[in-house]
Amino acid sequence: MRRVLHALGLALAFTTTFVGSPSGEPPRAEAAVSVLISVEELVASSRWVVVARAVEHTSRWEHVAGSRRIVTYTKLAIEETVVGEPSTELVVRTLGGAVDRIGQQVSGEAALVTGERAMLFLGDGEGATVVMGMAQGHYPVIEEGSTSRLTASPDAGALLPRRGPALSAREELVGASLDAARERVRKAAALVRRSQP
Amino acid sequence: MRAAALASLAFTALAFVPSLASAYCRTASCPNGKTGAVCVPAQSSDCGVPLAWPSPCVTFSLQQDASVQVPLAQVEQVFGAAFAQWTGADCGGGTNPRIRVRYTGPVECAAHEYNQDAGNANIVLFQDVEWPHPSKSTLALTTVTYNLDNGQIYDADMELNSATVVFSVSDTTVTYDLQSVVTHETGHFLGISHSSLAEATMRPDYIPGSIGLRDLDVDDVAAICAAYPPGAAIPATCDDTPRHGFSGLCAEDQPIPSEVGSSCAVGSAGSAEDGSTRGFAFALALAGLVVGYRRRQRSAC
Repeated sequence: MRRVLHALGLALAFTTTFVGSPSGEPPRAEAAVSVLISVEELVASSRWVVVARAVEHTSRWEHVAGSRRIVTYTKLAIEETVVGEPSTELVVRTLGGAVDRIGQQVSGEAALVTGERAMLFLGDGEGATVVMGMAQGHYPVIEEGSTSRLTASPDAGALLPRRGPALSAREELVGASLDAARERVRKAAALVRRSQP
Repeated sequence: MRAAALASLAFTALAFVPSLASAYCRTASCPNGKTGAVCVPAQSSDCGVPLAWPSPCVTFSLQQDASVQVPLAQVEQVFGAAFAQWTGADCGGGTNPRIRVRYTGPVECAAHEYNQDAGNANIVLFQDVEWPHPSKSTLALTTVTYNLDNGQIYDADMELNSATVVFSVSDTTVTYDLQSVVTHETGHFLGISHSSLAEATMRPDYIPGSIGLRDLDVDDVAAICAAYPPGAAIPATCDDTPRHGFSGLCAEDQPIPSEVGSSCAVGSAGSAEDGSTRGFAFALALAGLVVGYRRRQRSAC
């Protein structure tokens, strides 16, 4: 019963929160300390890898990750599903945001900006779709002439080098063309599938 | 070949990382609810009002269980040393930043919280059992709550991932040096953002196995002295009570001061919906009430 009510609540939240126009963008992230993760690790933890545009967002107080926090729900218009079940629209929850003149900055979280196009690694997290690896699973796409390229999430916090020979996703994807990134992700997905029992 | 490829990738990646031309920066509350930074020297991306604690005296609390990796007494030493680095920084002429950080002692609450109608504490907690965030590679996460209009910090909480990360406290056998991580994170606690200088404690990366971030660099000192300029001695009577009072208990465990006549309205649960959608929001709040009446009663307004 509780789960049903919770799901109902979330569904209602989506229905209600995207009716009104959004006001302002969520605050950026800045203060986490994380170890860099690889493309394979990101893909293995993700249910979808998509190229999408953030179309609107809303922030609210919610009980998430054992704490009452401000969270931001961002509606994504999916342009392309690189990995996972194709979808045209997803709603993603990120930590932090601004509600009633109170801002909450959550370190290292992906900061999805309305109107921005990005490649995103998405998965399930406590009743909502979340960005896997937080800011490490978020790569805004910019246009350079006729080429679309991936850039770094605005502030992923402090990032520590990986142990071992594998490159991190940020090293591989930031600066890559969207075509190359797409191929790299599909290759990683194939590797992950083969390694699964 | 591999080295050349790595170098090429690194160069390409760096070219798309935001500019690292400046030195210290302070976290800032920017227009439209964004969080940004104000840097010295100034950067084109600077915006808004820098975040800072409004009072020269602030407290922090450690969750009483600390970690199976590091006992409470040792964690107290680590945090005491980390905050002392910042508050004892030499601003010149024998002066220090005008900020004092006092340890309240251990507290029971084991959650990040900012309560709008109940007591608060700036809590540091280790997540020993499970890291509840979608990035298992994260060592530490700091959440800062602040006034959007003037940048005044209301609350800051820090979570340390002892569920999947092995921290070290030794000077010689170093994995992820807790003192280095905490010194960096306490800088964020005080409103300092990342620096572009490789020597700075507030630089956005460091090499695991190093204890190099334990001490402040001149750049870090400049940042904290700018954030809290030296001034009159902080009086012993300085009130360091957190916003809405101090409590070492989580909101749901704090006594409810008044069940009747409270101004807390269910419909004002912090959501940003406009009037046309409040009916749905109210229905949502009612559904939530069934799940967590008491919690909502304490902190949803």
